[in-house]
Amino acid sequence: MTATAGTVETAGAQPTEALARWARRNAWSLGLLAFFAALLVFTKFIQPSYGVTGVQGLAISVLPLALAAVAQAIVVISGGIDLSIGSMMALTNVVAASLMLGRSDEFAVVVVVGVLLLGLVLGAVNGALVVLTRVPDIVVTLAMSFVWAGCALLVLKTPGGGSAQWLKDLVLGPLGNEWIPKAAIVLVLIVGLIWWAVRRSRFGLSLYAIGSNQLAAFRSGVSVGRAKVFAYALTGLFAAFAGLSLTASTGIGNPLSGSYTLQSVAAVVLGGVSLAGGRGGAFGPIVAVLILALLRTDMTFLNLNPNLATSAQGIILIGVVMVGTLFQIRRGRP
Amino acid sequence: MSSGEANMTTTELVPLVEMRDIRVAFGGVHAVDGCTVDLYRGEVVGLVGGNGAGKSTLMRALSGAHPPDSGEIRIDGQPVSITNPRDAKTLAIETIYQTLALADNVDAPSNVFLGREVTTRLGSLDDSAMESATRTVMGRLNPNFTAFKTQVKSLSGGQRQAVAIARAVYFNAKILIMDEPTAALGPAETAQVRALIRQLKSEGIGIFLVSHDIHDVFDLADRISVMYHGQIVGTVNKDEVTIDQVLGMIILGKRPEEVTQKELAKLHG
Repeated sequence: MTATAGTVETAGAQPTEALARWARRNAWSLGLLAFFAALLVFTKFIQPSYGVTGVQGLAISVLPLALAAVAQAIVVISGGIDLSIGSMMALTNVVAASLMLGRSDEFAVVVVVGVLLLGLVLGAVNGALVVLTRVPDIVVTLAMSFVWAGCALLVLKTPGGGSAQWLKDLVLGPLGNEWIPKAAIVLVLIVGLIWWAVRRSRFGLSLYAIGSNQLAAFRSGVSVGRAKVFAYALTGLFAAFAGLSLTASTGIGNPLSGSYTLQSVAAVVLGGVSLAGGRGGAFGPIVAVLILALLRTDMTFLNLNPNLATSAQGIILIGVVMVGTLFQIRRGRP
Repeated sequence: MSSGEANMTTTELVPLVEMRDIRVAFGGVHAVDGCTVDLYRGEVVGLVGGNGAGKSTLMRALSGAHPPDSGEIRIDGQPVSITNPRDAKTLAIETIYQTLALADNVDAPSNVFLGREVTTRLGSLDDSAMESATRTVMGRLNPNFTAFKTQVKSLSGGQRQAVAIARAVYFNAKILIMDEPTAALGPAETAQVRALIRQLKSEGIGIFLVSHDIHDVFDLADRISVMYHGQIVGTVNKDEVTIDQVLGMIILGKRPEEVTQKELAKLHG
């Protein structure tokens, strides 16, 4: 009797139920998205001229950090952290720029593929060191960040090099409608395809399982070491995408290209990926990057000291995480 | 049921599991110091002993979680090498841990199939196949279980234990190691798990039951192996001993016949 009622109910209410479950699971990301929308309205309010140019500028400026945030999200979900993302971006950025300078478009294709492979290798080295030495992730990747940063300076001492025109055209400007930035499409394509493949794979499941409970995953027969190396390699790949996007958007290579590592950690935390591992996705961190960038723009519009913007970012981060934790505690004790 | 009883008398049969002279040391500490135990089809062997007696370490040697330093493990009479949990699972050895070790942030079917996922021909996860298989096996174990799509962290202790047991049952375990299977459960859930152990036993599965709860062990086990300071004090048939005698073995580390009157008096205080 009860069993029949149960099956009828699930059969009838499946779509709405699934939708509700999806919304519940992605509540944080949806909230961030709503906040971003509100922020856009606010921006238009304080700066009525904010429009096509603003949106295009936002898209191109967030592309490297958005890719870096996805890179960080992958490894954080697996229960680790990668402090060498910024250095890997710098290294891949300068390698691409120095190799492409004055070379043909065809050669640039080879360079792009090679640099992506380089990213995979850099990440795999990080992962292998973490697994083999059993030194905490944070220590290994911090050390490796100096190694990769040093390598970047060996390749290019000062900003220089160049980018193939087609690579620049790939991310600069709109596609079709003037409101649709190419950079956004590139981001959605890269992240969408790879993330979708990861979520549908055995590796994706082990990623979340290891992040949730490494011991349980190991006892269940998951090859924890292999999955970790894989996670770091994938992080390296996304760092290489981020480095290439720097080459494409700036047209040059810069061995000291900014504080992407810690910003990626900030975006991941703000984006609802638990630093304890096992929770979150790629979408939240990307929206978080958009929010952080737009906040910075708004502060310029409001004529606030740009240095204040950095501090404000930190304060917002702490505030958001505190509120998030508070919600979680509330939900834990109904 | 008949197979379970048959084992009590036909000891000339090849044991399902033989662990001979197993040694595991952590630095200078001999956690398991030359232990020999065996297990027959359809039998429950209780493994008891005080804290740090080495019960869990001995079982980890069998489950592949911590390979032994020396000693021999035979399954159906064949010497085997178990160096990681995957080796153990290929030999149809499944383990259910006291800590209800599950990956909290994934759902029940994913936990059941973790490490042995079902994939489609394209190599992607076959979620619907895993869910329906989990529904089938869960229908047998715990028909009230319906939370197939929620993350297991929001399940109750009994439901989580059901997920852990479903994992063992689905993959046709021949040998089941249960490390304090009822430690984290309430009375009703404990009764459920006990009934389940009896059911699995009647299906011919050999079960090592590690437990602090002497009543659990007396209720379920056919034989009891007592450990003391990393060694086996003795293995006794449950029907031939009293709870007090087993308690004496656990506390004093001696077989009942070796215990002096003085020690017995002291034990009863």
